[in-house]
Amino acid sequence: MDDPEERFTDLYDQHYRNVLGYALLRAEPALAEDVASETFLVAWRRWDDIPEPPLPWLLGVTRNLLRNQRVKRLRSDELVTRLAQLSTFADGDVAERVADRQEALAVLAGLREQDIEAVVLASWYGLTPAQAAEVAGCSARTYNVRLHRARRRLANALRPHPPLTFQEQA
Amino acid sequence: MNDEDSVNELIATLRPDSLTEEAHRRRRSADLAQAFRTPRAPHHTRRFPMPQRRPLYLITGTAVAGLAAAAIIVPQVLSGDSSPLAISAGESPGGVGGVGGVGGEAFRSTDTSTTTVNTRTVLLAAAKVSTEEPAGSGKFWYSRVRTTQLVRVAPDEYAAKIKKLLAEQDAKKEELKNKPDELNAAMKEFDKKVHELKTTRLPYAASRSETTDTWRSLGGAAGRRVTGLDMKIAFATPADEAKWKQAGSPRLADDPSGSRETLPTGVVSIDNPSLTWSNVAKLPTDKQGLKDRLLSLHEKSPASGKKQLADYLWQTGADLLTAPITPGTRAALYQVLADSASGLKSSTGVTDALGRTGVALDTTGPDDAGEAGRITYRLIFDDKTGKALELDVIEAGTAMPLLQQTFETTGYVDALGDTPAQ
Repeated sequence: MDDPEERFTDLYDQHYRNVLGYALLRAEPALAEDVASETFLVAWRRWDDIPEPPLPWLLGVTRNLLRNQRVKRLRSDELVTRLAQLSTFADGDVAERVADRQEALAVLAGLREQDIEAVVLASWYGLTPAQAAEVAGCSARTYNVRLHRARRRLANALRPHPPLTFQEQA
Repeated sequence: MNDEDSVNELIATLRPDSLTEEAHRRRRSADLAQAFRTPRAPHHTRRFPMPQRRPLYLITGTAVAGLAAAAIIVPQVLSGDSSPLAISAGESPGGVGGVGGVGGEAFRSTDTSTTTVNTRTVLLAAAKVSTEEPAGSGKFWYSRVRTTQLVRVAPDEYAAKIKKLLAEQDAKKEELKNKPDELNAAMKEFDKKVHELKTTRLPYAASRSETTDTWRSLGGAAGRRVTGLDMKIAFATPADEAKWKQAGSPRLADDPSGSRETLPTGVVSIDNPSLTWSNVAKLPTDKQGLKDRLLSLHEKSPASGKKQLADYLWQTGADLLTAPITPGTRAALYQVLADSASGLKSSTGVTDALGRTGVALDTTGPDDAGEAGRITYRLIFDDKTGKALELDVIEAGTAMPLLQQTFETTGYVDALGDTPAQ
């Protein structure tokens, strides 16, 4: 498969959703989509610069585009609200999933914005700490601290039985 | 299941999969088309965002005129301009949406104004001569295109100015870091300055021309594209050249001199992602068949809904007339265009950049500021053969076209490097 257009199409199909998902953490949907399109335009133009695996690089481009676009980082409560809005787009959710989501949101609401990003990067994209640190624009050490802090808080919240109150709320 | 896994699972439930899935489906064809018609960067990375990009106006040119070789990328986003991004997405609202009342009139042939009658007549005549041209065939579709663009910024001057602005911005950020409101206002001011820098005209009118040779493969083989041939800077008048000298004779081309070889871009028509260089030869050769096909393509077009039918037809017509369609399809295309002639203006006896005479078919659209009718999109075709000669994007009151693509030679060949017999 040597055709550059085919290879690019594969890259796009494989990673578009991830790139957009990341942009949605910062930007309104319409802007996020434009930033995702722009990310792939940059990828096409700078094909020779793309490392393997490409996702951390793509997310780094997205992050820079958002920054240059002066999209400000959301405060953690705004970010949690955004996450709540975005994930309600899923339909056909079983009650349990809805409950999980509510629970996750409730716990996240108590975290710092950067810690939320850390745990999201790990969970959504399976990035290694080094890769995620590059995307988040911090050192691997800092990233690890954020990730562990977020995970500890979330795990603590999970350890007792899933609070029924959340299910009732849902 | 350990804590880490359950945390990951929990967070995974928040991933907006439905939303991204839906957006992927919706944006895919336009995003791919946009990328494929954008030239790839040479191997080095540039520090300053702007120079390799053609400024704002040409976006309109691409979106509307589909002028493929025009190297048009304006990620305003990269240079800190906060103007909307959508314009670079290939389905620009800066398209020709502003053409006054044209769309609804597409295909209506009852208009009796003189211009329309003339336009209809010349288009039907072009249809007739098209059928008399021989059909061709070959392994590659060759084109030699001369592209001339108005120079919008002197790259070094621009880079120096943007660098200065960025330094000022950094200083401001430091100074106001504890005063968010003032910082916000300062950043807005900065955006405005960048926008001004990008849109301010040079005090002289100059253009840059270069020739591109392309061999597009119609089978499995790889094609070839050679750009940067015979690059030339020209001034509108000696007075413009004098003003340029007065300004210190800044460099007007940022590209390295000499030709570069790349692979051709694949897209025939940005509004019609399903058309390819090899399948356009299979388009219907009768008017009704082609009309039905184009209407259905318009429905499916990424630009559909944003672009009115008459604009879409002009655009797609221009794309197809420079592609390897059969004489029958070309004739049918002129007939279809003749039916939507009420939205188009024609002039006979127009000469292209090579001095060849033909008929100009014009439509107009708004400029970047949104002022209607300020930009003319012009297709010049040879009324003796029906072949496309040139595509122009012209701004009212500007001494030189914003963009001009002259099709010096097009035709089938059987080997890379061959050119058609004249």
